[in-house]
Amino acid sequence: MISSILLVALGFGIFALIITAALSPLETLSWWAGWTEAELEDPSPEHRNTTDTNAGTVSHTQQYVVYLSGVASLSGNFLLPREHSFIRKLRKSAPHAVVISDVFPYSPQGLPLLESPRLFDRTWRRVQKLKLDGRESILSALINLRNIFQVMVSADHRYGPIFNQGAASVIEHALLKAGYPLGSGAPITIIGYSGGAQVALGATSFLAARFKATISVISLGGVIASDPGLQYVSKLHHIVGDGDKIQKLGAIIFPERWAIVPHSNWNIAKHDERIKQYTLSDMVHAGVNGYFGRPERNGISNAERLVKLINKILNE
Amino acid sequence: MLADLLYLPALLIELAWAAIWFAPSAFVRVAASAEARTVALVIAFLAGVSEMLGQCVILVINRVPLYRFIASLAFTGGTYMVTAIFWALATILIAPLTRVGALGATEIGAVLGVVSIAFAPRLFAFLSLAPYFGVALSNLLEAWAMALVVFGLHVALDMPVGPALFCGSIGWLLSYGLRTFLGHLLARPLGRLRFFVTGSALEQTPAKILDDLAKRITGEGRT
Repeated sequence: MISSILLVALGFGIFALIITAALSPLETLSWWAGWTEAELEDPSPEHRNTTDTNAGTVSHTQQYVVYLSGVASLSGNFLLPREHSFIRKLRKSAPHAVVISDVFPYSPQGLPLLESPRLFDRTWRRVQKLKLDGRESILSALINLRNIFQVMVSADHRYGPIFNQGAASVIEHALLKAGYPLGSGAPITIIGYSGGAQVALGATSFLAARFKATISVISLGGVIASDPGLQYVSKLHHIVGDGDKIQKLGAIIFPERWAIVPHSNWNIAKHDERIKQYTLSDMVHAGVNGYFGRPERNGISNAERLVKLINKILNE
Repeated sequence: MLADLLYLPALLIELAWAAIWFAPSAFVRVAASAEARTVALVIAFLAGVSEMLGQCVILVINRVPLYRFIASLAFTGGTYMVTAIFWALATILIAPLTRVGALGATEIGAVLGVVSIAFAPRLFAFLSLAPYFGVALSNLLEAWAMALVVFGLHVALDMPVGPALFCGSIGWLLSYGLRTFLGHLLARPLGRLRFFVTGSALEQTPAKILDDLAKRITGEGRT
């Protein structure tokens, strides 16, 4: 009796999951078709430099760095305290770079989950409150699930070209707001954490066409598909923690990354040495022992080790 | 009054659900009853609508207006009914080649009913919208529908499994070939009909977006 109830519940759960997955590309499709009104405003000069960057403090800017958060993200303006601390450290260690951290990568319009018009914006606000109170709940898992499906939309051959074009527009908008001089060819580095790395890579081809600049991607435990963006990225720096099992999922669930598909974008980029992997010891995907972990071990925290490595990459 | 209104939708759900789970009663019923057969054809129509929903990315990429989008759903539903009829006819034509022999006049309607109701799993074809694993799901539903045709011919027309498998699969192949042949033969009028319904030549595809982008970048020099 109990086992049959469990089976029905399991079946219902799987069906609900598939329905949710099926609905996940709708935002992208309706945005592309023009069925929604939301448009990005033009970054006019008076709007520039108002974004969350260190542009104002920088003279002789050499490069622009855009940070895309992981799948737990609700909004570009709502980063976890650990991420905030990481961004502060990064800005301090790379004063020559403009670091932009307020981009929400899981929407083709860059529309944060907390903002209207969204069907469930109230739910997402409640989740944010729970997170701020330090109470993780099943609702928090919903954010991850919602954003994971957007990562899959970005990786899908059918929807990727649309979604990634939207994500590229959002990044372009943020770069222009931060004062990126169009036509200067100033190098752009996109740091993507977890699913953010896939969106970063997906957007690369479109950004390359728009900015005509060198674009590299730094993946922090990224769950990445064999994306066409790999053809246009100057280098993909894939930073992984040796205890990070989540990033390994990418190599399993995206068949085009398998060695048996030698002509996939991933394997060609790997062969051309445009993918460089760095392994950091004693690091997992998230939490206090994750990439942004702050507790010190042997006098240095995970976040500091990470910033050091990123700085080295930026100076290469 | 309300019960009368809900009778056919209820029958549709009952038949579709039973067919999906390989219940012989559903196939026997569509083989025997003209009313159930009509409902089975509606199932094929709705399966087409669902399929188009699952494939709607092509309409969306071409920025087809919403009302034309809805018209395209109905158009695909109609083509699914025609497909079911083709498949049934092909199955009937193939039957004399097996030890079952030629089917009687009463059995022709039964085959149409069985083939139509076998589209029931494809009512969930809209789920192929799901990113990344959606395409695999669509192939699974196609195989499921194929298995239902064989099962239906076996239980509703008392065909042995071998001839049922032969008739069902060769029938599918023939109908597929006929559709492809007619598609080439009638490419122009069908293209005009498609343009009339969607208001677009549907030339834009995800691959073309990337190709255009590649041309733009390589034309200006890759980074």
